[in-house]
Amino acid sequence: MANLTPVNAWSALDVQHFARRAGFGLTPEAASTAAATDPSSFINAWIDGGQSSTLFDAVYANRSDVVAINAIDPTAGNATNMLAPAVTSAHGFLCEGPNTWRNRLSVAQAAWAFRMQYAPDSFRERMSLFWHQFFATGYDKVQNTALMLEQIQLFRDQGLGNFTDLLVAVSKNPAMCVWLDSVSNSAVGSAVPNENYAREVLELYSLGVDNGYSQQDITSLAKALSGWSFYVAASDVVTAPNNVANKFARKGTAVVAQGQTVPAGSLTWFMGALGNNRLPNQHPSSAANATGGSASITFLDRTFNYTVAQAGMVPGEDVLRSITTSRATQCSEYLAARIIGHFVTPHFTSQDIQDFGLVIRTNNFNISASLKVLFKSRFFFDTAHRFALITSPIVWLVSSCRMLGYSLSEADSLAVKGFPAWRLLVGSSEFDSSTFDNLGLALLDPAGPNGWGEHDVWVNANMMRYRSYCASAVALSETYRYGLYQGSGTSSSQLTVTLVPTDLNKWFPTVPITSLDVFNRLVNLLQLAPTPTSLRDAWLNALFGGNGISISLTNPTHQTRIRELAFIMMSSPAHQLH
Amino acid sequence: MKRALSRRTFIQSSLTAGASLAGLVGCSGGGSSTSASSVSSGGGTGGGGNAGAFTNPILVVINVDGGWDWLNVLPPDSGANLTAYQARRSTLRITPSTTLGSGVGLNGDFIGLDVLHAQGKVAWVAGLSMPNPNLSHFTAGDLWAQGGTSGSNPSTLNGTGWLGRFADQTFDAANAIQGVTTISSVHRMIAGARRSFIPITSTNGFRYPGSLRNATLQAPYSTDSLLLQSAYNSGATSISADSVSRTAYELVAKSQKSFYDATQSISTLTARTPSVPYPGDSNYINANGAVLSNSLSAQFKLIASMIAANLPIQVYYCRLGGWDTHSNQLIAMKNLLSTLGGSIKSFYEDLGTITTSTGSAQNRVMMMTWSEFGRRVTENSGGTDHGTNSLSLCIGNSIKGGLYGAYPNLANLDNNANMRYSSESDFRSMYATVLDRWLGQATTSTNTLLGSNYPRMNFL
Repeated sequence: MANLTPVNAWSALDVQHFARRAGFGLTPEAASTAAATDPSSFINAWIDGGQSSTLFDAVYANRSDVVAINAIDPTAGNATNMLAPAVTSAHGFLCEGPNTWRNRLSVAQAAWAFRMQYAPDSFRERMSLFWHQFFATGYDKVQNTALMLEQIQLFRDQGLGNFTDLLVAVSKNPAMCVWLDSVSNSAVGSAVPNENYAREVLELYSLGVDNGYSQQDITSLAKALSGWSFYVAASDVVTAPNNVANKFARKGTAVVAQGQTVPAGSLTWFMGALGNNRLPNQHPSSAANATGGSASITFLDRTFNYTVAQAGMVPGEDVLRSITTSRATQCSEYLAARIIGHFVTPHFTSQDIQDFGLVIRTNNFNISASLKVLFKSRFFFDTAHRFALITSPIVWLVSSCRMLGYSLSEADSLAVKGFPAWRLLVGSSEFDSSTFDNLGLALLDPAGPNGWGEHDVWVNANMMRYRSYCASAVALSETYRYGLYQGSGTSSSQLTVTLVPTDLNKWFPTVPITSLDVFNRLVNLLQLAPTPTSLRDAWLNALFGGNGISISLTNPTHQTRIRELAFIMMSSPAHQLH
Repeated sequence: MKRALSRRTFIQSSLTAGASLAGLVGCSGGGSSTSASSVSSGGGTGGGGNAGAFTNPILVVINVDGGWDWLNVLPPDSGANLTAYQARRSTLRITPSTTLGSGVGLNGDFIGLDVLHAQGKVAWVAGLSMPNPNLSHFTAGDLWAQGGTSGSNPSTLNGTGWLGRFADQTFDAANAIQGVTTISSVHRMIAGARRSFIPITSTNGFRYPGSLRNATLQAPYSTDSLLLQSAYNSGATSISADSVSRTAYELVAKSQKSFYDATQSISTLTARTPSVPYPGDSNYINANGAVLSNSLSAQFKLIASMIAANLPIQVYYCRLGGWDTHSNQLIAMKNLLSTLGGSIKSFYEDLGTITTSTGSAQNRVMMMTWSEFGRRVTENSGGTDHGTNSLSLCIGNSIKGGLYGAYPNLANLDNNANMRYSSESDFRSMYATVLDRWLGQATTSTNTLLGSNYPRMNFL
């Protein structure tokens, strides 16, 4: 059985294991400092989070994006157009709020990657990535970066509280309502309810495929969630400055659409006008106008009148909430399997699932309380689970940038900012977001609600191909020359950026004496899984001429070789595990 | 539910529509092209070291991803089926523009397939079904992938797919690329126990070491390319000394080796310009004003370039997503069908201009589509929910065109108002037919691979 009793002491290596799994990695120095604190206090503080940084907030808002933005010319023929000028100095990522209209997936991906790298509350970022994989929602259908990032913010805000509350919040979330067609789901009159969301709630978000529900339950839940939609308040409508016909929602207002009146100037979820400021009528008010003439449904062995809203709930909410009581065991064990498979090991047993499922139920589906038990446990720290999981490409790339790149304050203090050019890591231009797709995890753009999976799904020849190219960008100071369009009649200028600025001296707080010292330090910094000594020796021999070669960090040839060693190590099998 | 029409291109490059694609030539000496073991129904073994040695017939599998509403692709046009169809599809029903006979029509938005059908190149294998259908994308996709059986239920065969088992059985260990997928993930259908297909999403800059954004490694590191290559290969062939992480380590090492070996097989790049316009190209004639995606076009162009280079790839696997039309179906299906049909037709014509070692590529290539299920016969508001049964298309010069399988009785649905199973149109019969009569497997070999002796169909 899973030993969920807590450890009472830990080493710096244990801290690094924890930080690789529950965050985006800690340097050996930071891990040493953390190891001085007892694990329970440290892990509580880590999971409780709430760290904030005025520096981070200022940087994120104002200068996190080092890639210049092309000018956008007015569309011919629209008299009210104006030019959106090029932005050349470092600026914030322009994909939300008043910049919603720019609507570039690549920019949204880059913005979130920047947050994962630098946000002070590392655990919340890691958990929001977990929930994104769990509730996988895709830009390709939502077509709005602000709404996509609003969903990620929901995961930050509510991803560690009560799971039932989270499920309800996600069900009302505008991006999700578009993604799985809740906006089109009507159970009024002769309408046939749209089953898409109800099916996936049961299959993917609570119980697991065919695990305690029937087709009838899907249909019942679809009726209960009919009308769960949103409208766009006038103040949330963002108009493109280069074409006033293009309107976008910077956020949505959740509502159960029952034909009610909303404030003038509000738009539909698809940015259309509302006749008489009335929402469509999609959720019946009584049996009389319900599809089939009945408001009674049976869902997971309980009977509900789904037109009757319980106190403090919107219509249908009590039906949704009943999942975690009517199927508490299945739901808690499904969550247990997803969590353990993501954070602990791919080789869990049914007993492990039952044990952690019990913890989840004992903690009344409170996520942070359950995760505290898990992350402090001997099960989590078991040496059998070290480097047992293949790292997802996002965690791999962000962690690598954290270990080899500049800290937030260091990067911000440089004249040419030292942040990675995330927008050029995710794609070759603002229209290209192919890097993460080729790595296997198209952030914010899954092909379907099943998301991606864990462990061996991250491994194939194409994904390894692109990891090696990313390793090149991170370790070998790759630069990229791109054109900046500044408007018609102005010639484009060529700009060059370093994709991931790094200072090799910062990799070695203690000056290395020999090539073996270099290797050992990089192993600790990059946190490789155990590497065969014969392989180590082969690399050191090829690059330096042996293990005992004297090293000088000011020697340009040694600098080249050291970066090449980091590149080889990042490309090697041992670095793909965590 | 899977997302709606994807506009994503799978080629990572700065290509514009219609521009030339860096093509490939096969390895020009000895080693990896020598392949004596591939079974070829066209005769000939793979002896010798040059590209002309590869003579196997080629299968291109197209995943119509999301569970397409094939009832609206091939709607009934007469009889009791038509009555049932009209009753359940008051808004979404399609009036076909042509008839295939036998009470079945063809959706006029399936541009390109109407022409190929008239030429007798298309087998419409309808009502493909399984005894215990599943309405989950993942599970249904797994069942289609595995193609196996235990009694009447498809079973898990060590997580392998039927084409993965084909790879295990027939691919040559010395030949790194014999099965290729043009998307970044490897579907279970093409995953074997020892061999899986290799994903190649683009051929520009297909090398190690490479850079992320530049064509080649930058100075000063470029001078050490061979050294870095050797170091990478050492890592890819290493075995973890640590027992704890060994399995995971070796899984990664194996895929790195697969990438590395592929870079050695693909030695030179030459350009290939497609000989016809494809959907998404600026000079493609868009006959019905549909919104066309270039994502399948890009994959077909890549495949065509590899065929033209005589690479020893026997099976290709590509994908067009967006078919999970729970809503907005009429518009979505028009766009998707126009894209799918147009891309297939362009690819077919493009093949006609490629000469391979056995002659025209058009005679050598067969296409086969699959989709994880059809959709609910009764519509919902504007779309359809998950259903059962499917339609596959088998397309090529060797195909005997027509309607195959068993078109379901729409007046006799199951308790969930879904189409029923028929042993006359078991999906594994189609696989068996393709394995025997196209990929040249012995009958007993096919029956072992699929776990049972399924009746062969007569489209080949």
